Amino acid sequence: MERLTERNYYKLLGISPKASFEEVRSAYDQAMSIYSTDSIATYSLLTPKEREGILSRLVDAYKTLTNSHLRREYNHSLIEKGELSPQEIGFPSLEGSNVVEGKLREVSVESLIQREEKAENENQPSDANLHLFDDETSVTGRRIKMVRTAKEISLDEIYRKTNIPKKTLEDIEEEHFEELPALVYLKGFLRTYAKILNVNQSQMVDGYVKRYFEWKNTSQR
Amino acid sequence: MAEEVSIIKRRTVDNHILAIGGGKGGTGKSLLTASIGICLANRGNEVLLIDADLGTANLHTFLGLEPPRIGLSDFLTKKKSGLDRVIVKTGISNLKLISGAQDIIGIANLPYGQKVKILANIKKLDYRYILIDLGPGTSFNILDFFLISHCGILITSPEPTSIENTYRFTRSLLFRYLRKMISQKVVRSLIDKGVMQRGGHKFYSVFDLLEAIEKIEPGLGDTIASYLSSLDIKLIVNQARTTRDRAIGQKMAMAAKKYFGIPIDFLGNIGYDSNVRKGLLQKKPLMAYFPHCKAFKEITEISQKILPRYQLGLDFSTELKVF
Repeated sequence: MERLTERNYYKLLGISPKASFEEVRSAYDQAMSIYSTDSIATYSLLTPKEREGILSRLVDAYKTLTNSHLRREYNHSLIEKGELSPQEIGFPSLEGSNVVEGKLREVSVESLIQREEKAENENQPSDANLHLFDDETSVTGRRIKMVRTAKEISLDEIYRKTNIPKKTLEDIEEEHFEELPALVYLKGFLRTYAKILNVNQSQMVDGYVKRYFEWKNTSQR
Repeated sequence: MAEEVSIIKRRTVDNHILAIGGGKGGTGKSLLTASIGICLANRGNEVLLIDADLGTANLHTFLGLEPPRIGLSDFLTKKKSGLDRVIVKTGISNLKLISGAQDIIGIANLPYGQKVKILANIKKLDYRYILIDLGPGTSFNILDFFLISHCGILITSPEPTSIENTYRFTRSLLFRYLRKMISQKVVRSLIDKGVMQRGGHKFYSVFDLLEAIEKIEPGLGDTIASYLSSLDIKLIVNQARTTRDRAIGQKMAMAAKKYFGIPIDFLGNIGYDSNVRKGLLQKKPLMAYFPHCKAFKEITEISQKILPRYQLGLDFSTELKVF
């Protein structure tokens, strides 16, 4: 029996270590609706101090698990503590290997890191280079789409949460600049979109707007 | 032959006792006891309702009956020798009733010996389902009726007052359960301390208690935790009016499971239904208006989720010997 505040982030949110960003978010939303100060469902169940403890832990969990860099580090720390096996986060790294039981943990951490490095080198949309755009110049519609698909967020979901029309989202990603709404709206949409992707907002907005002006200048010439 | 006898014996005490409680008055405990009983009886089960709301019993009213001439009090005052002698018919097939105590001042403060006598006798009654309707509050009498049952059903309405009482009831129940289960003196005094401090903010959470126990008696805290996780407690939210109301039950179940360490199973919502209230005010028997109410469908669905344990926990070794 573990205290709520002592559970690891996955157990706290009741999700699998393989949970997608979307799943983390919805589990977080649900937990907040249970434990927030204005929740009737836990009225009188917790002391103010207990509630505070749970809420701050939930925020930590959310921040960590929705940031691929922090999440990876956190996973490694859980693996080192023996609370998690690499297989649980989707790395079948030990299949067919002959490592003896005692060395298992050590080896698995290393192989895990190697695997991730390999993935990065192959330049697939791996986690590390998605978490932030390199700089403003690297923001393109295609890049945004890559970030989005890597985080397993569908356009439908963004539409549901933000009411930004799907068509506009597609136009942003496909860089159909001529179809995009007035700049002031576009900026707002991009900011909301960046928030959902959990990437640096001003970087994404400024970077995309720069690209937008590049197009405008060339097309008007 | 000896084997056969033991099987029959086992069968006769294979009743499933459900206690319906939950701290606050007016959340619909009696109404739900009666209506769940009716649903179970309609499906061909032998059902017995026991009105244990001592002092303010009114289960008979929901069934459209005059206050029965015999009831629990006759058993307690030894006018009737067995609990089975104070059972009355309800006019609904398969459904019987033991009415609550009438007219005895102070009956709500049942002496310990009498309580033990009732509890022991309830366990012997040969009915498929025995539903015990408990009064409000968290007195030891009420908690103990809850604790002899195979399954306890908590009824709450989606208001803070009722929810607060539900948690208070659950907490008291767990402390009472532990107090009855654990013999070590040191541990007992810890539990008592937890109960005493319940009024302020300094009360023990179940985790605090188990941790403190674990320090005194290594291993015992874990054992207790595993006992707690095997308790069968269910939750129904009654008089739900809004979507928000309907979301509360599941959240309570999740929070309580994490906080108390017991799996509370959320059975469902029953919507607020003005027809039920109208019927009650007209003193009509439940069956006269109940089947036409929206709430009836919801209660029927909930009653289908109440299965006796032995339906699932088949004992194959004994079954095979029968053939």
